[in-house]
Amino acid sequence: VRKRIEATKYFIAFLITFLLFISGVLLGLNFQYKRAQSLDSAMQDIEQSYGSVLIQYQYMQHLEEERDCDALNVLFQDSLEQLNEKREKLEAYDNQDRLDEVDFKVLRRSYTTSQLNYWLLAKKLRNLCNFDYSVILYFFDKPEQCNECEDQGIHLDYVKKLLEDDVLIFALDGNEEGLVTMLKKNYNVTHYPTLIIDEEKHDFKRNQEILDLICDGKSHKVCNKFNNAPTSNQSANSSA
Amino acid sequence: MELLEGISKAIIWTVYLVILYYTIFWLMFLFDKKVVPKVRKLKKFPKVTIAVPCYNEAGNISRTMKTLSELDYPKDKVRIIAINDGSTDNTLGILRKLQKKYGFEIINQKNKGKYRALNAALVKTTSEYFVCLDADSFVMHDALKLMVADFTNPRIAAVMPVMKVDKPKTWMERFQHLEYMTSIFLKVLMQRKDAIPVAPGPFTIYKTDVIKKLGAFRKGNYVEDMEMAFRLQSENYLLRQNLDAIVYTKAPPKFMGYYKQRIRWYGGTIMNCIDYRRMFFNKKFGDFGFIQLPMLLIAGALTLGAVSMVWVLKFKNLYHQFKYLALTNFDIVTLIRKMKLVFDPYSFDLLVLFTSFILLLIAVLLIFLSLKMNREKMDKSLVVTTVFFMFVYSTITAFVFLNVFRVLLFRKFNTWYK
Repeated sequence: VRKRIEATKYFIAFLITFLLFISGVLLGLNFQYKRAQSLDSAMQDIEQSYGSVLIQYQYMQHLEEERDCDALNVLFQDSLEQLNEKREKLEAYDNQDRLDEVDFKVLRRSYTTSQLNYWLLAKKLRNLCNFDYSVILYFFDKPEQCNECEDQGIHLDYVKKLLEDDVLIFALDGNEEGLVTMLKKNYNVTHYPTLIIDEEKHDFKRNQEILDLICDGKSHKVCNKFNNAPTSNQSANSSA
Repeated sequence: MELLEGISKAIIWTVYLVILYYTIFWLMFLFDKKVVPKVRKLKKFPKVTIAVPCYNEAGNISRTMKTLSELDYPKDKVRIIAINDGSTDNTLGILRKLQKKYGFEIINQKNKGKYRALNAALVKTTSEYFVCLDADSFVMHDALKLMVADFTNPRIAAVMPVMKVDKPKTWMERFQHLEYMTSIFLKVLMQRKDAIPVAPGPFTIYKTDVIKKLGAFRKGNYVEDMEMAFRLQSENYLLRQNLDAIVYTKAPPKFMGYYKQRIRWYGGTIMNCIDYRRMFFNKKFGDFGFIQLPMLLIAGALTLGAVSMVWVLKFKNLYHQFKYLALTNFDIVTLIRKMKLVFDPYSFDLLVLFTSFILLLIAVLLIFLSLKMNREKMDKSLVVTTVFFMFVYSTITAFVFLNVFRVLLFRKFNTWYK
């Protein structure tokens, strides 16, 4: 007795599997489109926010007296916080599978432009209002090309968590073209990671080293804590 | 690195698509009403021989023989043969005491292995049906008459009962209980395409003349019950799964016992698949050769792939979190203080989300349908077991498969089974 194979059943099972797979792909495309839309509208919010900080800065430039620098700083920091949140989103999306690379390239470029706008504004505000925050420019590359970049990102993130508004960090993808290329040339960035901490160029730095550099002669609350605490070298010397 | 990522993604998608296709294929037969077996009452009771091979079963044999003595079947039609396969404990002594009480035959032989013990009883068998019963299994009183009634077609060579774990207490026993339920459900679907791949040791009934004609039991890579099922399939005989006859069996209560048993089962399955490779994608053997055998061969790799996919992704995440803590001197206080809880639906990884959702759906559906078919009530304890079954037990199974591959690749096959 020969057994029989129902080829139709195999085909129907294949068809259902294929439809389920395709529906997954379509769902993914839709999901990704919505994700890109959400980031895009977030970037527009940031541009608006940047515009209002810029206008306030330009207005205050004309005032000789009664400059409300504190109010401007609050507005600026809030706006920067928004930018930082978008960076986290962009990074999270960047680590995932994408069906459409082009959308994300545009978003990344738009984010870099915003970063540079804020960086320039941060420098101007520091001159106008004598703010003592530190500014860090961080040039990075993809983890596959740069072994230390992932660790450097963690160290900087931790420093930001500790110093909050007293440090402004702008992370720039070294592969971006335009102004980033110009900045790399200006600061002579030849490898990654490279840090420009208050206009001084540094290679990979751990969080404690960054804090030491930033806190040298500054009066941030957290810096006082770090300045008063013995460093690992001091501890070793005293125990010897 | 990119190549490695590409390969791992290709593996993930292949595993996902094969599992999806296989499940959909079998679930389609759920609605195939025309092949649902009907319960039949016996008009006459044919003669049956029940063989009970025993190896160091002093702890279980009394209960096993007692349940056999209580079978609802004419006593003059049932012949019970207990084979003591060189036990080193008091099994033989207990058997002799029980023999006086219940009146069965005993064959005493040196330790030769289960398949030889079964054949020793088969040689003496003249009845129409031959039943194998593991000595650690306990039969419900109506099982025999329900199963014999299932031989409705001259091509049916074996009928299997519903196998349940006896009094599951430990986590391992509860996992196996759930696994047996799922396995019965799948067998019911598979029998609709005559593609059942195994006739388990606890109380499978065979047609005596068929198994004698096929050359009795073989070593079968230490899974003689599976080898016999493969041989029956290769001769295009039919195997049937009864849903009313219940047999309770002892499952390994601890991991090590389970591990040894599964290494034997899974390793034996792979080796038997290789031995019967001539049936692969051969139309002559129907769906058994076309889909069942190839799937049995790659089931381990698929399980390993699916579970690794989940754990590698989880591990990647955990590794990153640990690295963050290590680089920040484990300053957990600052990290918690500065933690922002923002829910962003778009931050989920779509690949993981979608494939995990579908695989989880399949698992839940299978378990739900299995419990329904086995008339098991879904209480709190079973819900908890089900959750752990999906995440913990699947990992344990993948670990066993990993070791099966290691054992098959790096050791001699005949050294690992003990």
